Amino acid sequence: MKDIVIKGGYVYDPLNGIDGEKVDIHLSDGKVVEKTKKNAKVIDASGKTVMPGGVDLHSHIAGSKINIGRLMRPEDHRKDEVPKGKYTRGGVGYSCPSTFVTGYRYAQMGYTSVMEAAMPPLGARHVHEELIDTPIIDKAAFPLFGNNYFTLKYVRDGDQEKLNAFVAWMLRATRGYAVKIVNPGGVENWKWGRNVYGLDGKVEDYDITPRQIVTSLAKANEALGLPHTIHLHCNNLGMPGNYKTTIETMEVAKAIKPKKGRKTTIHVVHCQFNALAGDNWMNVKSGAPHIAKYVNGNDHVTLDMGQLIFTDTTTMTGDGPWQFALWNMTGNKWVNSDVEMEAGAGVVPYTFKKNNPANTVQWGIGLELALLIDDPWKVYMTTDHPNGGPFTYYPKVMAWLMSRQARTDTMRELNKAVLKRTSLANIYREYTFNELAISTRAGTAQALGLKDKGHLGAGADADVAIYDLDPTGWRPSQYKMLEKAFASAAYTIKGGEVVVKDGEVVSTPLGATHWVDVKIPSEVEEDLMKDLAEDFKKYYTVSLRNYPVEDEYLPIQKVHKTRGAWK
Amino acid sequence: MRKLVLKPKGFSKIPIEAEVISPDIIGGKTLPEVKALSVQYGNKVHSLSEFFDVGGRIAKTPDEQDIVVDGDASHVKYIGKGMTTGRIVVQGDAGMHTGSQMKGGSITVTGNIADWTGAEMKGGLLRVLGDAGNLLGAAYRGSSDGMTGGCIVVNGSVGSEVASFMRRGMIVVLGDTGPFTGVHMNGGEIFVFGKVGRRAGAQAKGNGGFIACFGGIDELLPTYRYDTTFTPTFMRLYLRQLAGNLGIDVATSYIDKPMRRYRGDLAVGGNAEILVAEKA
Repeated sequence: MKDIVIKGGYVYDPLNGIDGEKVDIHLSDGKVVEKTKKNAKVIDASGKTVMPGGVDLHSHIAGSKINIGRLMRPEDHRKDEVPKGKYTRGGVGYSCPSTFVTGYRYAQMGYTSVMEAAMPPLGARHVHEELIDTPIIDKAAFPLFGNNYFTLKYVRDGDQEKLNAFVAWMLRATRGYAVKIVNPGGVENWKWGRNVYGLDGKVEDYDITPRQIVTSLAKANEALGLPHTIHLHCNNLGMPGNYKTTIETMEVAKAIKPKKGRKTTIHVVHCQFNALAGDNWMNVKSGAPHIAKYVNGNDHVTLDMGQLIFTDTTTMTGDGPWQFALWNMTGNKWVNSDVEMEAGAGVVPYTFKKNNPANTVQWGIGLELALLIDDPWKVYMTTDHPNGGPFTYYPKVMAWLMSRQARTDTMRELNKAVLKRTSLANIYREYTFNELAISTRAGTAQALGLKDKGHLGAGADADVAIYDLDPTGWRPSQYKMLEKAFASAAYTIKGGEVVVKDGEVVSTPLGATHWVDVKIPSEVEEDLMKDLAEDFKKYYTVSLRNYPVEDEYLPIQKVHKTRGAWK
Repeated sequence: MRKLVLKPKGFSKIPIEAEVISPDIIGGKTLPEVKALSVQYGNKVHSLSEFFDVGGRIAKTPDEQDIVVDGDASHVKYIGKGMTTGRIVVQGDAGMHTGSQMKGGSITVTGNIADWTGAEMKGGLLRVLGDAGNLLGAAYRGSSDGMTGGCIVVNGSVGSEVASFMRRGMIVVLGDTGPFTGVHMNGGEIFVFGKVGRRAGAQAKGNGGFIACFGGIDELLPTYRYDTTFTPTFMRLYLRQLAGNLGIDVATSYIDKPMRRYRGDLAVGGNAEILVAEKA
């Protein structure tokens, strides 16, 4: 592979303190280096914006859930057919894009790393099979722990040691990257048609509370020294008044001692859906200021927006009871799914409408969260693809963050509820390019503990995005220009190879799948296996020996080793 | 109106997907440009002139454009897809998806027409002088928005699932309809002068929608309940308009005919109507 020098661009690399300066970036052998050889290929980026490749830390791109969405929504595919190109395969797009199109479209926006945020452990093979077919981008998947039988069992027994071992083993068995928790306890109760409604609700049959589940898993997460914090989808999602639960949950994580070298102990996902005030959907209002106030005063929390887009999309989450509630509200199609012993899921198509007061309030909340939280290292841009809207709308969200006029122009088309029930109209803050880079790559990479991503210092992966936009001359009123530039990158470079040029995919290498290998002492593992073997024999349809994902499912893998909880 | 004539160069077993046969696309182009328009032939892209002799005149604007497909086009799909204005006349049979998602203008087919005609139609007028296939004016699979406007008139008979998920608009069938007429109907009007097939109005939610059966009905779903027999005033208005504006003379003979009203589909708490004209 030829070396590349990117010359003359305005570079935004917040992790290395470069804020719009003209710096040359040298790439060699898939890495950023100090200096390349003389015959390197020169990319002229003068008058353009250069950033590290985008890192999306919460998206649903592979596995059973999105596949249910694909199956149940032929009408969604029909409106976005993608023909075969010179280098690309055909497929479909929109809210449940096919795997190949997912890879292409992320790369076209300058994204080079994407996290699949919910992997049912039993469906891990399926997830990895689809990730093999998701080209260009680097990816990782987060297995679901919050309602897993073994998690609940060890929490009930108060056996933190075993839980630590189980989390470590499960990450290896599923080739997972982080601990994902969805509505802890709630999905377990859903198996009996119930929910938990808050941190101190009772989990049926186990006599434990979501509070205990979150605490124990966060403790395990930090003890094992995992690169990312717990990745938590809070209880009471989508229920007006739930901002209190969200803050309570953050407070729970405050008591946990973070691993060495990190301040954070919790990442709250798609916080927009968890920042609702009011009593019901008729009078729902924004709880974002409360959450922002809490996050501004505490350093142990990060969150992502889960920004809502006004479009027809497909909601899908491991939160089975919430999807049932949503189906009751909409009467649309609904698929409920149960993963034996481990998790559940639901899929319901939903259209966010500009004339729906509640939807406009939700739209406002997402942006309020991003704008009211002062430190951009704490709040990241996502749409919780496809729940808030397809990821292809990221440039639009960037425009809303960076331009008050973009927000005002959108608000003019909306139901007036957004003016009365959120404070968005009174917010004048506009993100700078540096803050945008933090929100979309540097911050997310840091939160995920991906040390080689999200920056352009020597030693980083050679993932670079170049956008055809002159940041020195840009004014917030030109937000349409920004949208256009960020929707189709002038260049996307992945692992030192140009994959996108002028918004067109020109090469489709396969990215790596990242996973975490925690060191478990053999006697601890033996002990755990005895435990697992007994329950697998009794309850699982799969034998324990066939359960772990083999290396064949990860043709290119990047293993993040951690020391584990044992000395 | 300026008339462009497309003469099919014979039948082909592999269908041709020719959504370019639309006034919106052809209007304002030059003749060589029109000849070079691309159509899908299997998995290959070909030019329009390989399958049609192209002649006649092209208008400056789409609304002035008249397109005549002169001959059997039963192997040509998507004629007039999404058109908004102008006129298309097919002198013979036409293939699947003709006039699908059209928004305006008019299409007339003198022969028979295949499935999915006028699917998810939004506006305009579609007339078929022969028979139509299944899923006339229906919603595509997965969608819950079928026909949302416009008018379809079929002189012959039609197949199954006519107007599934219909929201608004009007369908008039002078012959018989197949099973599941107006399934999932959620508004709109269907007039059938022949016999209506089995399970009409299944899962219909209502929303002001009705199926008027002037030639009787095969079998009514048990989830439709008889209400009353009356002579709806609005029906008189409709029938006069059908006769006057669309030239459906048979409509006049049903003015002042009493109709039995059935309400349903109660299986989904629906409030749609099936109106069946009393036998003379």
